[in-house]
Amino acid sequence: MPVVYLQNVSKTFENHVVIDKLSLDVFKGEFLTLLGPSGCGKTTVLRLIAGLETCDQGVIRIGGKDHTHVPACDRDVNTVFQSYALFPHMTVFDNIAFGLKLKKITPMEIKQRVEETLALVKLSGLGNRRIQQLSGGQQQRVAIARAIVNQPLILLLDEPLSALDYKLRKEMRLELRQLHRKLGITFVFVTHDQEEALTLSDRVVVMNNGCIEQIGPPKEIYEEPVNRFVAEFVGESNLFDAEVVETRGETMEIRVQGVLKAVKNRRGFQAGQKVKVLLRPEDMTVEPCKQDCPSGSFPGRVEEMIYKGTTVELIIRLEDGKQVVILEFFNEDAEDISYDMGEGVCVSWIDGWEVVLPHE
Amino acid sequence: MNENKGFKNTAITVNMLWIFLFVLVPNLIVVVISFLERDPVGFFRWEPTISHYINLFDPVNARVFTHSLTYSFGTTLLTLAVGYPFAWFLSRVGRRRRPLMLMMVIVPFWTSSLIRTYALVILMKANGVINSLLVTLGLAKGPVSILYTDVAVYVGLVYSLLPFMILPLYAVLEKLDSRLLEAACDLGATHLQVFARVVLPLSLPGVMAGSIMVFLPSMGLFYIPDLLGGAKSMLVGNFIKNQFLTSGNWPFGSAASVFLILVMVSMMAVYLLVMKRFNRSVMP
Ligand SMILES: Nc1ncnc2c1ncn2[C@@H]1O[C@H](COP(=O)(O)OP(=O)(O)O)[C@@H](O)[C@H]1O
Ligand SMILES: [Mg+2]
Repeated sequence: MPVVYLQNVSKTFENHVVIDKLSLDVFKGEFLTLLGPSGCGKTTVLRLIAGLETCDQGVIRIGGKDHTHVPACDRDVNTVFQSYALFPHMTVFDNIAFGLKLKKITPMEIKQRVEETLALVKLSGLGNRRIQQLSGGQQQRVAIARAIVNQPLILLLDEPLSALDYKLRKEMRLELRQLHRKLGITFVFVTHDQEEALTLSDRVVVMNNGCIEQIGPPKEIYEEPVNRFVAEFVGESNLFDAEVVETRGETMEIRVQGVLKAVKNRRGFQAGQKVKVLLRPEDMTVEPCKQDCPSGSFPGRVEEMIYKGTTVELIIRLEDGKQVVILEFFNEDAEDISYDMGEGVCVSWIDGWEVVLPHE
Repeated sequence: MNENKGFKNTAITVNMLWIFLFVLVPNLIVVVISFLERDPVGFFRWEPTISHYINLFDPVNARVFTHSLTYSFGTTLLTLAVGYPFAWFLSRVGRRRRPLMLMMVIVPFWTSSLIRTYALVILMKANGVINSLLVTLGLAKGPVSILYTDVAVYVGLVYSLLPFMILPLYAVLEKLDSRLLEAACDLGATHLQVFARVVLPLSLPGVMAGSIMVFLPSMGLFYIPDLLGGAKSMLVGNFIKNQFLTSGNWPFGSAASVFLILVMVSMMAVYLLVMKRFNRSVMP
């Protein structure tokens, strides 16, 4: 049974539909991420679960019980707010103890639990500090501690890392994962950063315009996006227009860039149907062109070569003017990747790594 | 550049002169007179004494001060009780309706406070508006005495001083981050607990400022107890007024004034001290 269950939930602000008949299950103990562009309604979904917003339609169940009209203070849910929202008139200790003090827990136990949580977020000994005396990263940890000390059924995190600098963000990612494993609490995490979503989550929910586009594990979202929006939001991609020529059971023949290629047919495409072929930059291959390209690859010219440490990004202009991005890795086979500007190359991809999407 | 400097210097000089002549000098005169002997003909004689200050602590006179303090304290509590909910409402109401509501608080300032006090007399007197209404509606058999009671004095003081409580409270409540309230709710606080643990502590500067701005003037407003309380409620304000205008005892009136100023200054000092500590704890 899902620990959070949203069914056909809708929310409208001033005649503007922000969440449109959204249904979502969150399972016990999982790390679920809501991923989507800014303004797509991620925060609103979190606020609906927290009870800080009431839905116009639909049902919200938490821990198996109907919570549609339960106020925020009576929900076993705690939030790490995007702006942290720490109480400026309290010390670190009092901020973290806020929820416990409301529950009539003995001062002895409060002290013990706060100290434990401080240690968990690596802030031991800072209990007496004022909030204003902390760095952004430390405030972030207090915000997390203030929520997890209550041992809620669900922890909601609204873009908690977006205000931190790059290095700290990567560190905190790792710590969040460890925290999730240690606590066993269900995490619902919001971000607009696809890398964050892919590295942290058990499952990713890709949202757009108040609707869910796809739900699945990171690998599936990245490798098998169901539509163009997901494909392009979740990572860099090359999209080719193509047409199905012939189907043969599990496989089919398509014409792409004037070349015939055999690909898998997972979605029952019919002959004559227009489709899009999606390829991630790292799934494409490039070879120097001697004279003619081997069958099944497209001729093009190198337009730009960007060195990125462990990889090289090649921007290649195909003969019909289409631009593709290809990522090459340095390894034993290719210790030195080097092309001249304007050099002729042949572009192809590793068979079976393509994703064929319906034409939209 | 030079012209500008000339203008600045002139403006400052005129201002300083104005303050010196019409604020500092009169107050100094009051201080000096408070240490002189009384004279039935010339109001005072050039003979130093501190008898007036000792006289202030005479039980009869001291009662005026304690009585006054009680009134001022009561007025402060009442304005706080009325003003806080109003200021809260004002700070949470939509941006479009706010200017209108703020106007309602400020408009009374456009007429003289004395005239507004006379208006209260008309409302509260035996055959006034309130009593006519009560009798017509059958809620009272005959006129109820409101004017010349403590109630009337409180009504007058609260009415006159309410804006001084509302405005500082509004200023802090308006700046209160609503996300903090949501965070408290999220952590399990009921509305009452959110108020007691987050809203009230963070609005204390406004409570302090408003209280000072009501308490201090309420000690000196002599015409409100005079007009609404009759001769019965003698407060510091009308006590001082009487010394000057009725008894012709300028030195004693001066001593009472100086004492009142000292009380006010020490309260301001306490306020500033507390605020300094509060700011240090909330600001970075
Ligand atoms: N209280 C509100 N009043 C009016 N519009 C709102 C309110 N909260 C959110 N919105 C609107 O709802 C949409 C989704 O907001 P939000 O859930 O914050 O998106 P996200 O977190 O994905 O960036 C935005 O267009 C935003 O302007
Ligand atoms: Mg958001």
